[in-house]
Amino acid sequence: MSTELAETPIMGRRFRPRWATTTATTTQNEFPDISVASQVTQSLVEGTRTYVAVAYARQKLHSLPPSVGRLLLFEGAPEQVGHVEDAIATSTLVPYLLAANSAWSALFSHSQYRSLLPSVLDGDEILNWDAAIEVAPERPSGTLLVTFKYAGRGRPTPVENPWDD
Amino acid sequence: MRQQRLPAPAYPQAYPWFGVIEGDELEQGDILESCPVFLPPPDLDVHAERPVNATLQWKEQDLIVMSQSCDLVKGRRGVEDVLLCAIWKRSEFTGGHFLEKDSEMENARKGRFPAVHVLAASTIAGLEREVRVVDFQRVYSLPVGFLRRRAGMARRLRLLPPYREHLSQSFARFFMRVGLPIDIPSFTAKKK
Repeated sequence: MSTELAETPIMGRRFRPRWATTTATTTQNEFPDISVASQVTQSLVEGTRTYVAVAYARQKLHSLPPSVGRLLLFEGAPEQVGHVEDAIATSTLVPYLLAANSAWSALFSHSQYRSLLPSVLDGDEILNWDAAIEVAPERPSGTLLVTFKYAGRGRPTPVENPWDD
Repeated sequence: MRQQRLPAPAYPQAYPWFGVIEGDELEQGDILESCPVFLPPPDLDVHAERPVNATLQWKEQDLIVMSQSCDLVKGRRGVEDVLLCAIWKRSEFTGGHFLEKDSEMENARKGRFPAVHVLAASTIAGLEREVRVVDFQRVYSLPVGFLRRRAGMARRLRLLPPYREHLSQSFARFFMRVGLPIDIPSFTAKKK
């Protein structure tokens, strides 16, 4: 199991608290109640198993606040993974992770899980450039009475020529 | 015999976040606590012809050195003023501050707030410190001689590689940000 998945910034809705654990070693422990995923796995050729991450979204919000990011882990074959491998390799957000006609579609056609499908992401939602410590915490402070004296114009710092050696 | 599994340490000994420094050597990542910074009044007016008396405000600030270590080597000509950023203890964010919330601190930890950078807690004996936040929007400079003297007054923490470079990179990312006046329209927004 690739533990880089833990850092893949994929957004989602809160489903069950323990699904937030992204460093699990087996999908069975993580998602015992997703039987469809197991069925997909059984159809695979031995030795071609791989783990993939599927982003899912908070449908109510449409946009995806990072704080609700969660991962779903499944077993699958490389040809079923589709875009997902890219998502893991680049550790970037990929809005649509599911190939339209992949075996994963079966899982997400269930109404119970349809809301897990990823929605559109916007780059601005990943980084919040406006978040800032606008009001600084209080610190001890005081005042100084000072006399400013002119010390002349500033001069450039002499720099040694690196080619002189 | 079955091997006993031990939980992974929070901060593996091989890659400690902090070291302890004594003396006036300065490097990028050095933390100076309760260091005075000086704030000239906005209406300060000085003249070359005559001295001017004025009241200057100062405040205590925990600071972290952002200047490059190679510019701070003693005995070599480097910078005359050291670039510093303010750092705040996590517990200082109170009264509804957004970083009071665990969820927002988690966003900060993951680098989703480019204006801040989270430092791990220190468990070094005598220098135990809680998680702190570097504030890239509060940048100061102090003369290197002044800062060396302050640095020599007490043992202090030094952020070690690669955490130091991680901080430096975050600062660079924040500093070099570019806002486009006219952005390319979103490809995914709903068309009207």
